[in-house]
Amino acid sequence: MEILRYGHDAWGQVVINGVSWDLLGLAVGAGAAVIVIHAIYRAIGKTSGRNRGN
Amino acid sequence: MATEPLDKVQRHAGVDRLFHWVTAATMVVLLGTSLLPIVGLRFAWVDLHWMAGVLLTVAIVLHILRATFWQQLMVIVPRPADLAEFSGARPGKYSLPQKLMHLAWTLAVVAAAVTGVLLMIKAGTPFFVRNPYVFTLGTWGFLTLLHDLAALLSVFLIMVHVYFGLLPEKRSYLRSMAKGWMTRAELRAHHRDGERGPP
Repeated sequence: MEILRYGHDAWGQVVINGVSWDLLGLAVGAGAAVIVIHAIYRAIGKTSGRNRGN
Repeated sequence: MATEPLDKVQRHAGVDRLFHWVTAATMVVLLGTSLLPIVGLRFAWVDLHWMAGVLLTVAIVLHILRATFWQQLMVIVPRPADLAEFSGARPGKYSLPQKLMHLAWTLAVVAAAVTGVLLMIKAGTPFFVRNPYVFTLGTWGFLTLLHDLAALLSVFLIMVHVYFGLLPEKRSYLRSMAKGWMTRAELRAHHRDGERGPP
């Protein structure tokens, strides 16, 4: 997976053009991971709360 | 039987709610116009992108001025004392997660706005005569890098922010951002009463 996008200036030297768009999937994946982990944590908390109430 | 009126407490003033939703709408337009072409949906995105960017920049400048001179700025700044929330202490107007979310948004939006305004010189808009020679290619690349990182951080933050905003137990916060108020019972359930800061 690329981290950066590169180009060349008029003298052929490599210059940074920006972030590689491969990282877009990483950003979406990180957001989805936080959501899934919190949803699992929340579901476990609810279940154990119900069990304590029994 | 007469119903008792809800004991409403104002949490967000109208102008602050307007700022929030203008920010939300412009962020959706900015991310849509910049990222949809990357995933293959081609359209003329540049004009829509910079117009939404200018609107967002004006909104955040006004928000910074209002927060600095008309509100209590420190109410939203994370402090070591906020760690007491881990041992059950109730927060003031904003909890530590809310403060951290605001801090992350501040980083993303300010970075995107500052670099975006500079990149407008390269793109050419009614505000700036197009001049790609103001900076070297390396500097333009670095500004684009920061702009891109702000966009990626914003994608992450939008997902997390919308998820937490839609949770049933957080519904009172969503309502307060739409209508301005929460009930005193909702306030007392999550916050220290009487330390809301200015609405």
